[in-house]
Amino acid sequence: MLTLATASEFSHYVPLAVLLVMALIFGVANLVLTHVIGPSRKGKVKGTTYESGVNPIGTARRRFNVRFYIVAMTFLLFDVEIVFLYPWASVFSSLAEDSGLTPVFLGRCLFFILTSIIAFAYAWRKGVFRYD
Amino acid sequence: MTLMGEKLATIGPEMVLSVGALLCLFLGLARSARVRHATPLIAGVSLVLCIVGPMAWSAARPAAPGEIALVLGLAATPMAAFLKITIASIGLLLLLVSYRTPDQLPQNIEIERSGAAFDPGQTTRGEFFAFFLMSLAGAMLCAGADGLVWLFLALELTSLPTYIMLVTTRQSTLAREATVKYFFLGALAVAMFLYGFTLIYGATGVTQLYTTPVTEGLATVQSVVAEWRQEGQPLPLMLLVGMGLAILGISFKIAAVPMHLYTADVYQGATTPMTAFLAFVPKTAGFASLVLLLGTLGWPLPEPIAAMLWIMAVLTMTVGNVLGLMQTSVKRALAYSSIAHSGYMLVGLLAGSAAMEAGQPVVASGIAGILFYLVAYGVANLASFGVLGCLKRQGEEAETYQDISGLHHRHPWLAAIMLISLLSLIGLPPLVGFLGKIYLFAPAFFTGEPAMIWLVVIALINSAISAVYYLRIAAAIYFGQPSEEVERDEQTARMTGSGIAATAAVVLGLGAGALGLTDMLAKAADQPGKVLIQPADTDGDEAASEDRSNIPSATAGRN
Amino acid sequence: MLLLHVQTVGSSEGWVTLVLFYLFAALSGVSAWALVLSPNIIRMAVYLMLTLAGVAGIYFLLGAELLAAVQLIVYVGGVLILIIFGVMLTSRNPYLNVAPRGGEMALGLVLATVLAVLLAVAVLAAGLPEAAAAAPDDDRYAVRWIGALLLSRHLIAFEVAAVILLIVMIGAGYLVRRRIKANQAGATEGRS
Repeated sequence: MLTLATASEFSHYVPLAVLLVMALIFGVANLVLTHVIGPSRKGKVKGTTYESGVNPIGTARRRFNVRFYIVAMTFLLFDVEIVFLYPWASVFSSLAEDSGLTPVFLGRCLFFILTSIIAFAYAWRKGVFRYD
Repeated sequence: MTLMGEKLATIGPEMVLSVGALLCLFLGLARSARVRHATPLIAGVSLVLCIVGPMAWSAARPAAPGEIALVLGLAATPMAAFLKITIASIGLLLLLVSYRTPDQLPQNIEIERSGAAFDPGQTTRGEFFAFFLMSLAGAMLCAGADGLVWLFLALELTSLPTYIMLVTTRQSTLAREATVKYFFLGALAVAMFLYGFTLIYGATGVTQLYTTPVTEGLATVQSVVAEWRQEGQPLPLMLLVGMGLAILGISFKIAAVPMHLYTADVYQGATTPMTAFLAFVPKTAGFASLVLLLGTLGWPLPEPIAAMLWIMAVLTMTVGNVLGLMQTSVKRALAYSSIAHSGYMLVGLLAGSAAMEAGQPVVASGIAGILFYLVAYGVANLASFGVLGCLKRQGEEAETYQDISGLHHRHPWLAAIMLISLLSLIGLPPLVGFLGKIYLFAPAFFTGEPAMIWLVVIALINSAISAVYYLRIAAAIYFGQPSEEVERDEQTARMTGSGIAATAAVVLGLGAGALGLTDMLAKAADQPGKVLIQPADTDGDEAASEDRSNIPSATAGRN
Repeated sequence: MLLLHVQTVGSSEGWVTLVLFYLFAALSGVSAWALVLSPNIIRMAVYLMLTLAGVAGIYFLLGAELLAAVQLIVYVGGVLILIIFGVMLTSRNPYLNVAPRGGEMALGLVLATVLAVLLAVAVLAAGLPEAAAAAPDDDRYAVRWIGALLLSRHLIAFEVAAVILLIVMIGAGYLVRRRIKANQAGATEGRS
């Protein structure tokens, strides 16, 4: 038997659920509506990527330069960083108040942030962000 | 000192290494070539500080009776203290061996030669030493881990830098292939032991492995298991599956069957000093983690885990030695020997401290055996790869039997170092390998169980098999035809490192007891994770929110 | 058949939880199958996204809100992007088909079955201990609980995590920078 302890009070999620449903309806409705009421013309020019823009060079299905990877990587690192900062931020004020050790708890978090500053200083010096 | 202060003080050596690593990182990018060349010196100084610092600390602050741990300084557990000193010492030798590694890379040679402006984008010197220190710090953190979260992060900290070091220290397709294999199998292994950790947490409800001053009074995996055992309950299957997965995952780090498949290719693909690094650091971290994990279950281990480890030990020894016999490359043969030695160490892990309780001497602790063997294997492995790294055939690294053939006639000292390390790997007296094997196999023998005695017999047969290929290498060195094409690389530091390692193999083999090593081992193996520091003022508050500590000074020194 | 016993913490909205649980479980399970069976690597990534999102939903149901948010932000949002980037950066054709051979398929199937059976038996036999299920009284503040633990008992783990992030960042920057130069060198060689 599997016991599942759950939180059953979802009332504070109602706005989220409404948002999700609205997003779904908006997306689906747009697709359906353009299909139903939009004019349907087909042709060589109509089928190009940018109908009234620049002619694309080659296809999109090619290998990309590896330097873009650092962008994705940086994004992910900040993502993780924020994940750790959020619990800290939510508890900091009460912890600091209770214990009277504000600098201690601030310092622990500053050290955490410091590492990413170091990483960026390094990457800067190394020229990672130079796109030449 | 307060509780949190104590906890931070336990990771003093790691902090020193981290600071050293950051210094290396930034000074490696300095405009002045002289500053850039100081990076290995900084790495060396921080390692020396890790060895001397704790000793000076304990000398300055005499330990009260009962504060046994502080004899070795800052470490929380005696096992961690022993391993940290070991890692720092062998790390220092590894640094000597790989001191010139970044200098030999084409792009670094180019930078130092050209009179043009220094391009920080190209150099790799500072990073190499930074990653080197970080990986060592990770291994040290593993040894001192008190919880699953910490252990996982420490294992990651050990391996992440090695991936990058592997691919950047040698420019060849072999190295790239090796890195890809190492990285992907490593990722698989991480997934496995992480899953194992979650199951352990699921079964016990706690992530803490052992009690520390900070977590006093809280449940730990060890206390939960002990309670089950006291009540005579069978251990839940979830815990056993979790442990099994964790062992399988960590067996990647120690290169044991079934996660050994990468070993030969990676060790061959890596540049030789890097191979020495890979054969020691992750292995130490892995065995420390295994001892800590299995220590929560206590010895004798539960049937299924013991059976699994038994099979793994037999397969690891046999696969390592039999395949080692068939290699034409010395480097690959030594890689398989690394697998085989993990198999021997698994024997010690299986025996654990089971025999200790039966009133046997200290030698009867398998944990002591593992810790000692890590030193024994560490020095012998370093010496053999170091010698190999000193040789070049037409600019390429030497690795076949032909390359080392007749080495004795051309470079008698290198040949002697190699011979000592090979004999130590075989386990011949009076070298350290002999003592190591006694420490490993005796505990298994003392348990008196037929399965364990068979295991010892298999291990001894395997040692005999291994002698064949070790002696083949020795024979090639002493009786082979010298090859004109093979030259000695001008590597004083590398030779010195190997020489010191070989000397250590002799000295430790002759006088492990006289040097106090056995006493240290006895303490270290007493009980993994057992904390001997008595906190000065235990205010007994709940650690989560009532943590009254004096951190600012400690925190300030950490970056 | 798995018997599901729902322990409601508060009011009698147990069936909502149950329905949502099966919804998310089905989403994860079906997408996981599709992920394994799909030969197209980009589609695999999309199915992976659905699997991860379903798991996030289950975290929500368990009251582990921070974990759910992390799952969505880091895995669904971040790691997945990284995977797709990885595909775009490495393969000549990102729409590459990867179909496993029969032997690989069989081996994978056997291993997966063994693991699944073992885990199922282990989980069913377990009877979760109270500590694992015991969320703090007010789950809306679980985040603060985690924050307090990170700052005290798991402080070292917290800071080590920071150091690992540092290493990852340095490693990535370092490797990418090298390759940029290598690419440029290759390009100039090609031109001359």
